[in-house]
Amino acid sequence: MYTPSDEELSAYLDSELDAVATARVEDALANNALVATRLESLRVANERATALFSAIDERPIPAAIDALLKGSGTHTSEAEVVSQGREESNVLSFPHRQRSFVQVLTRIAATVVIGAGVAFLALDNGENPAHTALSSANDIDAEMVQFLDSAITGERVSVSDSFTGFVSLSFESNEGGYCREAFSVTVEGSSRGLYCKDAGDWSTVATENLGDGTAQQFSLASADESGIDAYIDRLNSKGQLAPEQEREAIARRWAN
Amino acid sequence: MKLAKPTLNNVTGPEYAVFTQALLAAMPRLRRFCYTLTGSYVDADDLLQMTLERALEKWQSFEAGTEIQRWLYRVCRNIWIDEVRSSKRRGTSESLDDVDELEYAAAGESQLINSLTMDEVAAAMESLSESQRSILYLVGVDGCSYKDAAELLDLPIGTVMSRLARARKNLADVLEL
Repeated sequence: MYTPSDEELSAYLDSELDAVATARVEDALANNALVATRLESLRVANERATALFSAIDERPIPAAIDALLKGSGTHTSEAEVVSQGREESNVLSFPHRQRSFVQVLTRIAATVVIGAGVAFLALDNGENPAHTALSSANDIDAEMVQFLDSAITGERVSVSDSFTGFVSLSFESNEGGYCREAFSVTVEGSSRGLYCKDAGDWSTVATENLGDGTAQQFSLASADESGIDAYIDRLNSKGQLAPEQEREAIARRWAN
Repeated sequence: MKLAKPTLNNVTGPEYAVFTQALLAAMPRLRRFCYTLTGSYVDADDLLQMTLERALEKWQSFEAGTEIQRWLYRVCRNIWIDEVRSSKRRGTSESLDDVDELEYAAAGESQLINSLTMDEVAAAMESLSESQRSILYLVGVDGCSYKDAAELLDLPIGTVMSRLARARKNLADVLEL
């Protein structure tokens, strides 16, 4: 009886075998419980590794990296705000609530203030944003829909000559469905937005106009929350999607 | 660690803005990759910082159309190989790299892991070689194909395949899965 090697089982997990080898492995799996057990242990090992790597995102960002990103700007950095109340100064942490690495970086990215100012265009302007106020009006054009449907987090995507963007955060909303935070550059300028897929369509939760890209200043916000961050904090308690979860969501076109 | 210039606010222009935004978005995965190389959270953040500094210095060498994540992985790996690894005594990781073809004993055999914690998984991960961790991350977590991982790590595809299988098997053994 044919018994697949660990290499073949591992490659089977990764869909890296050709059709013939795949069929051989599947035949062995169907007829040999030991092979199925070995495959399962490899799969679970990979799952544990994935969880570990995901946990790295939750670790606080060292202040030195925060300083590097902030540059020599005059704004009070988040690290400095935090360190005022802490003895240890070499590690950045977040006393109000634990932010993920991605959330912090997203916030930093959002403060790439371009041009004269920032126009916050959240659809709900309440101080305590409620997802129930999510607009039912679908103001998203086809290029943005295509982009939100298919983009991999962190990869710059050009949907057309006039639309470039990247997704910086994807998560499963506390209220069901998926949400994605994205930056986009079009002929109209740059913007940051939070979009959620609800009832089969992407809807804008909030957008922030970053200007026309002709001049810029990079700074960290201090203690104040940006509106989009408040929405993200409210909607995202489960953390970002792992890459494989995101791939699956993309394959399902973000349907639950 | 001494900070290098330039920082994000002393260069201007829309292309640089797009680059920095993409850089920020790429950092979580870059941080994970740093961990695969160093096997230590602290060292990983040091390597992350060095990579960010280098990326900011060399951003103009980043060509349009290149996937920034892969570009950063390459920058990171080059720094690790050329500047960091050689100056560190990596002990376990290095020795396991050297004997990568051997079936080495599971490092955590004495640990009966009934309820796994992240620390225990991290300890198990340390039993893997640097190369195994990198391949396991790139393929098993980050979703690279064997071909892409082979190109990134300058290895034959067959080596990627075998090291990945051993990484998973060793991890499963240490965790008694």
